[in-house]
Amino acid sequence: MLSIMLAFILLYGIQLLHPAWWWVFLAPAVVGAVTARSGWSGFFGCGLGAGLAWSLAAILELAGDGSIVSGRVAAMLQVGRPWLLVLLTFAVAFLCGGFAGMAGYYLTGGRGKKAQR
Amino acid sequence: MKRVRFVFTAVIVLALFWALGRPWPVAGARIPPAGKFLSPFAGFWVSGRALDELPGDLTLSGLDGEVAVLWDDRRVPHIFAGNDYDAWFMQGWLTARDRLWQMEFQTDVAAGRLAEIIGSDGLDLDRYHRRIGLPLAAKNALEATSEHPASLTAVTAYAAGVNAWINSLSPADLPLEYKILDYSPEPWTPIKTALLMKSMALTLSGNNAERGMTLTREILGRDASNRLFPAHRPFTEPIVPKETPWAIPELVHRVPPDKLPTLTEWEFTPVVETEPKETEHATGSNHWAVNGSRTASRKPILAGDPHLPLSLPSIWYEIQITTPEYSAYGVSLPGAPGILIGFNRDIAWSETNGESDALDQYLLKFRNGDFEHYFHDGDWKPVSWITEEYRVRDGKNLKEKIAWTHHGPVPYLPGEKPFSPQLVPGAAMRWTAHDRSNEIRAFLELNRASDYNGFRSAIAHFDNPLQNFLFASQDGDIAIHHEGKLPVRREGQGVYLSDGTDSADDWPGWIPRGQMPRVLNPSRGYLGSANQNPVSSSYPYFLGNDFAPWERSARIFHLLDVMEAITPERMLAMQNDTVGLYARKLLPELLAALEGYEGTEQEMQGLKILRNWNHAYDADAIGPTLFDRWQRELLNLTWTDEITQGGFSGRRPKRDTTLQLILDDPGSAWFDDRDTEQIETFTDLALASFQATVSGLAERLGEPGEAWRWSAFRPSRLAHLGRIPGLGRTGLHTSGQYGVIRATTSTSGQSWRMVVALGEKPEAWGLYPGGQSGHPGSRHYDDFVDDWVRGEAYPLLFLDSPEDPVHGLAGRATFRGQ
Repeated sequence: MLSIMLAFILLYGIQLLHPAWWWVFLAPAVVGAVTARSGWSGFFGCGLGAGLAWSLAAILELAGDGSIVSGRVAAMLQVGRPWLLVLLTFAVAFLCGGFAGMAGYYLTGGRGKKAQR
Repeated sequence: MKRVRFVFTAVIVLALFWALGRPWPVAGARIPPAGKFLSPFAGFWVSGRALDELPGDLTLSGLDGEVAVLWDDRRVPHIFAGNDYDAWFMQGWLTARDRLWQMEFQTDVAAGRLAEIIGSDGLDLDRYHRRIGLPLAAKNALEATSEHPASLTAVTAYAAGVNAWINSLSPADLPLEYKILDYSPEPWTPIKTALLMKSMALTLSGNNAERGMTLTREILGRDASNRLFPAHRPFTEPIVPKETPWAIPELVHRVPPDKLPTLTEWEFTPVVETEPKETEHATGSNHWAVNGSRTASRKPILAGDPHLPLSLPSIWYEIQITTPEYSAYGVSLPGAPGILIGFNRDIAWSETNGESDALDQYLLKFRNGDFEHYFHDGDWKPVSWITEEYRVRDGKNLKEKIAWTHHGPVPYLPGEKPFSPQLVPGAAMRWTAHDRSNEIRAFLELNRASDYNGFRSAIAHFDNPLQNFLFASQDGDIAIHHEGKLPVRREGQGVYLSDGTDSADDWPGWIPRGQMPRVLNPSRGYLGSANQNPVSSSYPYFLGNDFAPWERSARIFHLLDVMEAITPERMLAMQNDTVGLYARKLLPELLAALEGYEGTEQEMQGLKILRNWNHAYDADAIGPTLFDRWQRELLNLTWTDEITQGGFSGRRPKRDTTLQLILDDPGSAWFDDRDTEQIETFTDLALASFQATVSGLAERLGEPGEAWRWSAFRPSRLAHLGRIPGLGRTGLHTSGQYGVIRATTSTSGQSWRMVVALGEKPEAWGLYPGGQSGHPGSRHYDDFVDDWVRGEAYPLLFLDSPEDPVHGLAGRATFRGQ
C-alpha cells in the first residue's frame, strides 16, 4: 500500500513539474528501492501507483480539453471508445512502473522482508 | 542472486524504454511510440490542452513595435501593426500558432524530405520531388526574392515570427502530428516559403499530358489526334471576348523537319501499358466580377471560388493584415506572407488556374548507357549531374545523381520506372517553375494596390503557375489578366513530346507580358473565368490545348447575362449552382436514342428518373448518379477500342468532343466497335451503355433508393494532410460535380468561397472547408465544414482599427517587442 501511494504521489508530482515520459520508470524505481519488501511487491505496488497516476491524469484530460483529441486518437488507433485509451495508458504505466519498481528493489533490497510475528 | 535478478529486471526496463520510446510498423502503418504518446503529461492527452484559449498581452523578442491583434468569433486574427515587418512577423507567429505542423510538413514534402519523417515509405515521393527539381526551383525563387528588399523583409520577418512561436514550445506543447510521427519542428527559414510556393506551382502547373498525347497520336495518327484534341474546345466562350482585336505583329516560327518523335523509336524508352484515363480536370476554379452597370449598388461585385484538393487542416488560413499603408483581408497560404485571394478597402481580387502549358518534355538521345552526353543540334553535349542525399529514418541513407540538360532535369533515365506515369523515362523537362521568379512580391504588392494600375503592376511580377487574375475596384473598374511566364510556341508545339535533339523545339523566348490575354471593363459589364481557354483562335500565340471544358464558364456567363440589379446574395447563390450544361445537352440525345425502348423494370424506373431530372447535381437526387454512370459507360464504349492498341493505351478524347460528335455526326465511325462485325452507331452505344449502367448500379447498390442518391453514391471527404486515419472528415453529403459551378468531387472542391461587394467600405462573405485551427484536438479544427457542405458563407469582418466597436470578438491582445 505504501509503495502504491508513494509511487502515485511521487510520479504525479514530478510529472507536473517535468512532463518527460521516462519518469514513469525513474519515480517507481526509487519507490521500489526504498519501500518494497520483495520483488513482486515492488512490481505490483509501483506498477499500480504508476498506472493510477497516469490513468488519473488521463481521465482529467479526457474530462477536460482532451475530449476531442482523445476521440480522434481513438479513431486513429481503431480502439473504438476514448476511455479504452485510459486503460491502455494504465497498462503501459503499470508495466513500466512495475518492472522499474522491481528493479529498484533488487538494486537495494528495499525495506527488507517483513519481520516474522 | 539479487544481483542477477536486478540485471534481469533492469534489462526488461531498458527494453521497455527502448520499445515504448519509438514508433513501430504495424500492418503497413507506423504506430506512435506508445510510452511517449500515451503519457498524460506530454503525450497526445495534452494535445488538446488550452488549444482554444487565445493569448493575452505578450512580449515577443523580434518585434519592432507594438501590434494589436483581435480575433473574431470564427478565430480569424486581425493584425494591426505599425510597420510591414511587424505585420509579417505577427502573421508568421499567428499562423504557426494555429498551423505549425501543416506548414512544416508541406515544405518537407516539397523539399523531398518525407523519408526523414516516415522512413523509406516516403522515398519514392522524395526522389520524384528532387528529380523534377523542386528544391532547386525553390532555391532559384529565393535568390530572386532576396534581390527585392521588401520581399526579403517579408519572408525573413515571417520566418522570425514562426521561429518565435517554435521557440516557445516545449515537447508537450507540440502539435499532435509531431507526437504521432515522433519528430520535432526545426527552425523556419525563408527557403521553406519558397518551397511552399513551388509546391503550389507543381499542383497547378505540373500536369503534363504529352506522354498520353504522343501515344494517342501513334495509335490514331496525327490528323485524327489533332482533330480529337483541339486547342479551342467545342462550345467554349473564351475569357477574353471573341471580338477583342489583338495588336500583335504576325509571328514567325522556326519549324522543325516533319519527323515526329515517337515513344517506341527511342532506344532507351520502354513502352508502358496503361489504362485509358478520365481526362477531365478534377480540379479547377471559378471567378467572376460584374461592374456597377449590373449591380443594385452601382458598384462592382467580385466572386471567387478556387477548387483544389481538399484536406484537413485546410490549405487556407483566413487573416486581416493592417499597417498604416494598407489593410487587406482574405486567405493566406500557411507558410507564406501576405494574402493570396482577398480584398482591401479599394479593390478585390481572385485567381483561377490559367491552365496554359508551362511544361514540356523533351525526348533525348544519349550517346550510350552512361548517359554522359546527349545529342542536340548535331553535337554531343555533356550532361551535368546534381547529387542529392536522402536521409531515411530507420533505414539506409541514399545518395544519387540527377542528370540535367540545357532543357532541364531528366527525372528518370531510360529503364527507370517513373513515380508519375506522366513522365517519360529518358525525357528532359522544361518547366517555367525552374526559372528565377518572385511570386511573393506580386501578392505583397497586390495586397496594397488601390486601383487598376496598382493591380497591373503587382501581377506583372507573377511568373508561375500561370493564373487568371480577376480584379474589381470601388472606382468601378473590372479586369482580368491571364498572367505569367509562357514561352512562344508554334501552333501545337508542346502538345506532344518534343524533340530534344533539335533546337527547333526549344523555347525561343517569352510572350511579352503586354501581349498576354487581358480585358479591362468590357462592354457587357461582366468578366469571368473557369479554367477555359482564355482566347479564341484569333489570338496569335499558342497557349496549350488542355483547358477546362465549356460547361462551368458557359453557365457563369449565361447567369450573369440574364441577371439584373445583382446583389451579393445572388452571387453567393450562384456559387452554389449545380446545373450541369453537359447533362443538359447530352441527356436529351441519350433519352431520344432510347425512345420506345421497353426494358426491365429497373431500367424503366431509371429512365423515368432521368426524364424528370432537372440536370442539377443535388445531393439528394438520383438523376446525377444515373447520368454520371451512363455517360462514363458511353465514353468507355466509344473510345476504349479506338485508343487501345498493342497492349498500351492513349488518351481518351474529352467529353465535350464526344458530345459534339453526338450532336453533329451520330453515325460517325468513332461509335463503331471495332471488335464486332456489325456497324454500331451512337444509338446502339446509348442503349448498351444504359443497360450496363443500370445493371452495374443495381448489382452494386440494390434497388433504386437511398444508396443511389448522388451524395451517397459520391460522398466527399477531407482527408488529413498527412493521411493519418481518424483526423479527417469522411462521408460528407455534398452537392455538385466537377463540371458545374459548385465544382465538387469526392476529394476536391471549392476550397474558398468569397464574394466582395465594393463600396465606401467593402462588404464580404467567405468560407473554406476546415477551421482556423490546424490542431485536431481543437473545436476550431473543422468547425466550418458542415456549413461548407450546406453551401453557406459567413459575413467577413473587415475592421478599420483595433478600436472598432465590434460585438462578439473572441479575443484581443497587444504584442510588444523586447
